[in-house]
Amino acid sequence: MIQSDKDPLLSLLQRKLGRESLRAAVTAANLANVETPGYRAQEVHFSESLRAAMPGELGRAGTDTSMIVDAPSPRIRPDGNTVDIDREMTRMAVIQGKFSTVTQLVKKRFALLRYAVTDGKG
Amino acid sequence: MSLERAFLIGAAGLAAQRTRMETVSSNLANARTTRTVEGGPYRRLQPVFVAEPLDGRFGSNMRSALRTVHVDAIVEDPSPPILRFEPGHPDANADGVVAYPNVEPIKEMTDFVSAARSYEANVTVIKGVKEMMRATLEIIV
Repeated sequence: MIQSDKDPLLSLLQRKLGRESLRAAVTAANLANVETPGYRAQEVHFSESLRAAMPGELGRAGTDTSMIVDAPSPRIRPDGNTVDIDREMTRMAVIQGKFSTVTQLVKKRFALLRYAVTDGKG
Repeated sequence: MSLERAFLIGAAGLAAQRTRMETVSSNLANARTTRTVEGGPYRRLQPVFVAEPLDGRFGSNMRSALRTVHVDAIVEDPSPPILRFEPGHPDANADGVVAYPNVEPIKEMTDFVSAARSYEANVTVIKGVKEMMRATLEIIV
């Protein structure tokens, strides 16, 4: 049985996917509120608390805590809204790119496992 | 799953922008309407958007920091009607002045373009999230 919490690489990738989906949700919220007066653009901050980083443990013990905060904005529109549509669109593209990179890595990880369990024939 | 939330928020954005387009088309269609059931000329409508915390059912405080969008109300523009001297018009007053709606077509057109852009931005989000969901599904193939 392959459990993601037993496979440090998989758990790391899984966490990365979680992060990117939360980022996508925040970007979606910013874009949905692009016309809402007084809305402050948000962004996510992640902080890791790596338990005494053990070599080879790949941050397995790290717990992910995230915080959604107001994004620093160089300009505020007269209606108090701080959403920069171009920045959000770019962010969305970046998130998508990162997300597909990670899903590819997860796929490869499983391919490796399959290769191992099929004795190199898979 | 977070992706679902991004989806829901994107959909709320689409609905809000669509409402905005509806008010714009109502304003443009009635740019010359001098009679309404309430009496007097048509008054320009404008939607009021409000940022709302995404449904709390996902638990933790962190998630409720996400704001979806929602049309709080559609209000009438309080600015005065545009007065034109047209003595021949059936709705002209004793001085021959007709009160036309406070709708400026150019303003409405720019508003429409802006709404269309914002709509597109939300469509892009939904497309992106869909692509991310597809990528996730591909893991199991």
